[in-house]
Amino acid sequence: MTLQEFLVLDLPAILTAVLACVACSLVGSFLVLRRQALLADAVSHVVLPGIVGAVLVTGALTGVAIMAGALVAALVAVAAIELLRACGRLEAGAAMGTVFTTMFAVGVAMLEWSDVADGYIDARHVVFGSLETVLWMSPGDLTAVPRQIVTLAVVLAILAGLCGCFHKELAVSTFDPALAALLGFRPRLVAIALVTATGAAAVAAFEAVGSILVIAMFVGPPCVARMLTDRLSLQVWVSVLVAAVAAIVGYALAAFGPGLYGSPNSLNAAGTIAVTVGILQLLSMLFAPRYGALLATRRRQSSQSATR
Amino acid sequence: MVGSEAVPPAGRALSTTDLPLYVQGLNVAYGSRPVLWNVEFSAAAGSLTAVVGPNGAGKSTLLRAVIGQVPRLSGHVRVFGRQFEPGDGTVAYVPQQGVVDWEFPASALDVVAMGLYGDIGWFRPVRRRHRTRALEMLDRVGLADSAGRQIGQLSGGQRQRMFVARALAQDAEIYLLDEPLAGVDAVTETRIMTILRELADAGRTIVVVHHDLETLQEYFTHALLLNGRVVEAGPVGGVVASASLSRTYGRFATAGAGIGAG
Repeated sequence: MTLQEFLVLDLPAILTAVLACVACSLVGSFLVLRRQALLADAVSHVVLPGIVGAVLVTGALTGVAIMAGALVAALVAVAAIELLRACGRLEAGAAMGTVFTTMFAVGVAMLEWSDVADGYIDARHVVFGSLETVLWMSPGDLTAVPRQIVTLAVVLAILAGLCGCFHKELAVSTFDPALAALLGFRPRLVAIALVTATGAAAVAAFEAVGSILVIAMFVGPPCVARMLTDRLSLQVWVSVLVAAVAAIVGYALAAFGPGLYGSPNSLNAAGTIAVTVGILQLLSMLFAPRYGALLATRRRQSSQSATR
Repeated sequence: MVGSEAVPPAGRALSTTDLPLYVQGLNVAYGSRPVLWNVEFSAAAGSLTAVVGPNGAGKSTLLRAVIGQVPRLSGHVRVFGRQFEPGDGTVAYVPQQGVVDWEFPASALDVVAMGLYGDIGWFRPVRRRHRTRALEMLDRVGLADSAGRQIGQLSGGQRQRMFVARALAQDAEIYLLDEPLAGVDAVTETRIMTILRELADAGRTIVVVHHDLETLQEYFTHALLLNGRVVEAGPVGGVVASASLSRTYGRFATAGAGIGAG
């Protein structure tokens, strides 16, 4: 591997992966604490027909277009879910499950039937992401920074800014919505904002890791952080750090791992990132200082023998 | 605690509708099942009102409907004569322990500081003086030593005291508490009741969902006997003396015998 190769091929892919994972895990911490992790799954599926539709209409894959398409798809989904609940007498979970799988299927069908989308996205991208297609053709030229990286950086900056500004509001409306309402913090508005942020992160990360594996980025790093800390601010920071580490390690495994065994091929990076997240989660569940299964057992034994 | 600014000027005759808390024609249903029928009651400044009634009488629902957590089919909630608006800072609410996630990554101090978020306002961060104030409130309920502990590590009594400290931090006019004495030890019970009495003495209005009929007269000035509708309401002596108390509790109640919690 030459430096030139690294700058053209690997650096943009690593940056894309890190930005995507960090953006998702930032929102994910609050979803996990609200026990709404499934929402990330639902949103990432629902936006697919919107993304494909945007490409069909505009003929190009641009950040603004796919965000707009995803927003339309999300609104359609919300309307459909409400309609099913009202007319179909379905409970919220069932309505959500019906709508998000149907819309995902519609998105895949649109991909298959249309040739306009060819060259931009196909069904493989939905499953595997397309980190490998993020290329910095002229390294050093900042005007040639890949579009995916720009989109992700903008989305991440906005999400980070919002989380910083509304930390307090997010905390109280997550922990105790009744108190949040009494204090005038509009918990429903915060909830809607969080769903919107989830959608933005999912769409921005779509090209990096696809629609399916993105759920691992939303849920995995926050769950690792849950094992490691009892402070909300630390929870968010640890989660983001874990996401970044998983992105880098996962990419390295995919790109350079097979080479260690003499194979000329590389693996799909989105897959190895998701696997890395899973391994980190397993390790944290076993070895976390306070909540880890192994050390918690030992702590219990020592605290039983110690006098209080 | 200083007197409130929201209390109407002295010398003006108080009509019922100008009282700190006045609930009128309140109807609530869960789906097609009605829970509260035409509930009307008021609470005066300095009063300590117990909401009592059998299981399923709608006691918790009443408090949650007052603060707007449960949708009202009809009815008004007036605070000092004005339509109650969530967010106006007049009402503090202490939920039942079961409704919050005790694994939430927060310390006792963090949760008490949430009571100050309304004063701090949108966007602004929690500062040192807010944390100092939260610590004072924890000290008042005897929990200063546990300020840094993750909330799940607190005992039942400590959790309840933490919520009371949070309500104190809100510095409200009206305090609504949903079974603050459920499952707490005797020391905590005394401590919470002392604080509530101090608040009432300072002119605040306290409404408590309560289970223990034995302590009703000792702890409270007023009682609201609820069973879907208001069965009896007024000074606690009158409610205890009335025949409706034992009638409402059905065959489980005998004159003078207490009904235990749960």
